[in-house]
Amino acid sequence: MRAFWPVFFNELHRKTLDFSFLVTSLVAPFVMSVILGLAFGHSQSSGLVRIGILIETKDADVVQIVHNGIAVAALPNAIKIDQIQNFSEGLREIKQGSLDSLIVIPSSFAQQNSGKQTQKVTVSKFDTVVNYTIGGILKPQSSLIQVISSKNSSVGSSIAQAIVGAIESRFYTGALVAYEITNQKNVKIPVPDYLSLVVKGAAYKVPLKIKNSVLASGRNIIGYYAPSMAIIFLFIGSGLGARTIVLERSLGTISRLIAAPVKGAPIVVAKVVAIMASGLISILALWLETSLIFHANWGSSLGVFLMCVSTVISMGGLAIFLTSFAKDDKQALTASVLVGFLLGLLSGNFFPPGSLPTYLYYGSLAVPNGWALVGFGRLSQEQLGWHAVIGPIFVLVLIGVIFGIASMFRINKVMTI
Amino acid sequence: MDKSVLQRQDQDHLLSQSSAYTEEQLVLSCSNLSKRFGDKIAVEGLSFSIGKGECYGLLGPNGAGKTTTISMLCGLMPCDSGEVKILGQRLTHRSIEPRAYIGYVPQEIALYPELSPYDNLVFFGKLYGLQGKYLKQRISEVLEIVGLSDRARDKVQTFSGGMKRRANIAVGLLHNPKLLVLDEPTVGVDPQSRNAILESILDLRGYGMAILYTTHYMEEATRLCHRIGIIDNGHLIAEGTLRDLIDKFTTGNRLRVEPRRDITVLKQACEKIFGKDCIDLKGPYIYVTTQETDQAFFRIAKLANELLIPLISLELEQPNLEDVFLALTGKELRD
Repeated sequence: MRAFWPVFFNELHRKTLDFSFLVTSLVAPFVMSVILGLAFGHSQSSGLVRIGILIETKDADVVQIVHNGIAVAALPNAIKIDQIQNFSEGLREIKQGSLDSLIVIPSSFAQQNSGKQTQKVTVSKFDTVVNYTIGGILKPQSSLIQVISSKNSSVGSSIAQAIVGAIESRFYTGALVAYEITNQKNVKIPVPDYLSLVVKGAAYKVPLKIKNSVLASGRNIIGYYAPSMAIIFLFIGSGLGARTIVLERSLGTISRLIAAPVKGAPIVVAKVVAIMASGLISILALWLETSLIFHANWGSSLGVFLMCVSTVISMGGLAIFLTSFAKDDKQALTASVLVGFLLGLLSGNFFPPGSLPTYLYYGSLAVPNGWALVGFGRLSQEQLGWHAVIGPIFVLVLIGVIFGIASMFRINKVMTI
Repeated sequence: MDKSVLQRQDQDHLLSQSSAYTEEQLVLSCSNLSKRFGDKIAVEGLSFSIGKGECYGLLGPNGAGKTTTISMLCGLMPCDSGEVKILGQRLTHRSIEPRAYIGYVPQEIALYPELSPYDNLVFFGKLYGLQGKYLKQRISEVLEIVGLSDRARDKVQTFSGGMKRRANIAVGLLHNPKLLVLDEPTVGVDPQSRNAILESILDLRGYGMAILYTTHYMEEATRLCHRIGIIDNGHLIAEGTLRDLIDKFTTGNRLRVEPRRDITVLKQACEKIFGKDCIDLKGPYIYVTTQETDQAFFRIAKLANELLIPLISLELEQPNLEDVFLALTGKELRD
């Protein structure tokens, strides 16, 4: 094994002087993960969803029911609710793009909801109106709550509908309370008193506790994209590393290595291990950089480290194996870049977490990228412990060992004159 | 041919015949080496040996089989048949120990261009088991030998062709090998650098190192080598000292005549005196081959005088390796 360490350190030394390696392994994944993180993490981090509420009545009970509904919706800070003074102002803001959705509570709301009535809620998506009727314990009469949304904000429309649902459920809670009281007491009360009773019922706090678990902060999207980009560039970086072995044939250094009084196996192993070690350095550096600069949370440290090692083994093994078939360094360069990006696209490395179609998701599990994403996703997005990534680690190491051994045979062949 | 070269070769190396080497003096011996690539015979039945302190030149045109021979001698590729021994130890494609005795300088610049010569030497030195102070000392020594001490820390990729060649040689010398194998070490370098490289190799002969030197440049083999093997189409067709080869394979000395005018008239007159077979016309020169050079010299001068043809030059040319090769193969050594 005399040859192992000199070859290993020589390979690492050469990589530190290789500009393309530095860019591919250290700069590119960092830049790409930051760009994608900022791009896809935008809406989660900056609270851009703005919903307008227009209450066309001054009735304090109605206002109270609406406010209770909004309160019970427990909206996150990222969603801003503003009261709008009139309908035309709301429409103008939607057209300008400063408002995602407008909820219109009609002036007839108090009147129509007095007594044993229920709601008919109409949801309109700007020019398109969708009507649906809500059944209930009370016999319906129609009342119209409009939700008007920008075509560009499906998220805003969904949130506005959810708020209407919350207002509605709050109203029903109150109505149910009022119904029970009046039924039990068998009394008939005037409409205003009934509505007041509904308001009091709606204000009743149901003894439920909500456990609010924060799974991912706005910035943690970088915690997903950083390893995601690192996976791609691990492949490309490893391919470029293998390219230098192909290049050694034309340099003639291979003949000098063969002529040396050492066995060939340690030389081959050292070269493969050096490529993988440089990959590990690059992904660990990315972990450190994104954690320090962007406070990205990759998840459990032990889990992340194990995932990094296993991903490096699998991606390195595959990349070296494929690149070793190249006839010259140009072919090797092209193959590593093209296959790297293709695998990245197929496995969803460029897409937000969980957005891959089902058939692609299962397809991605045929390549190491997919398993690496599953593992890093569990750690960074679901905040699970290292135990949760044992499966992906096992698969990755298995892939790595198979391709790693195959790579060594290939490199041994490349290194024969 | 410079007589001093012939004299020096004879004085330098009294043990000029391989059969004269004892087992202890023998550094390299190969017998009946053969190698085929498909149907093509690269090397066939090649045998020669090199003793301590001897510089052996393997001379042949491009594609003659020199590099294939060296590849087998250094263990880079297995031979189909035959045997190679280094200091008495059999060298195979897989053997390790005999390789430590060989310093191999390939035809390519087999260095990492992004590293300095120093870093290249450190790396290859460690592969040969050198380390610590001894490694540093050897690096310093070989850089001095090849004249690169002042550029030791610059990247190889910034070097000129000649400097790269010298750095390439330095790696081969680093572990103080018993046998230095140089595969066309001056290919593609300018005359000045070539001269510097040849001077370095001449110096190395003084260290008692056996040297195997392949080239297709006749002048290099003449200047450096004690013995020369001529290889063509994979066969060793002749072997010996320069004097042996010339004596054995050339017919005599030549006079080179350069008339100012009427070269055809003078040629025809010379043919009448010396015979047609002894006269050759090449460019502005008439070549006259003869054993009796002194007489021929005066007869040509007299003839030119009688014909009123002024001579620019009349010189005696000794036969050289080019003539030997021409006599052996019917063709000229070519680049």
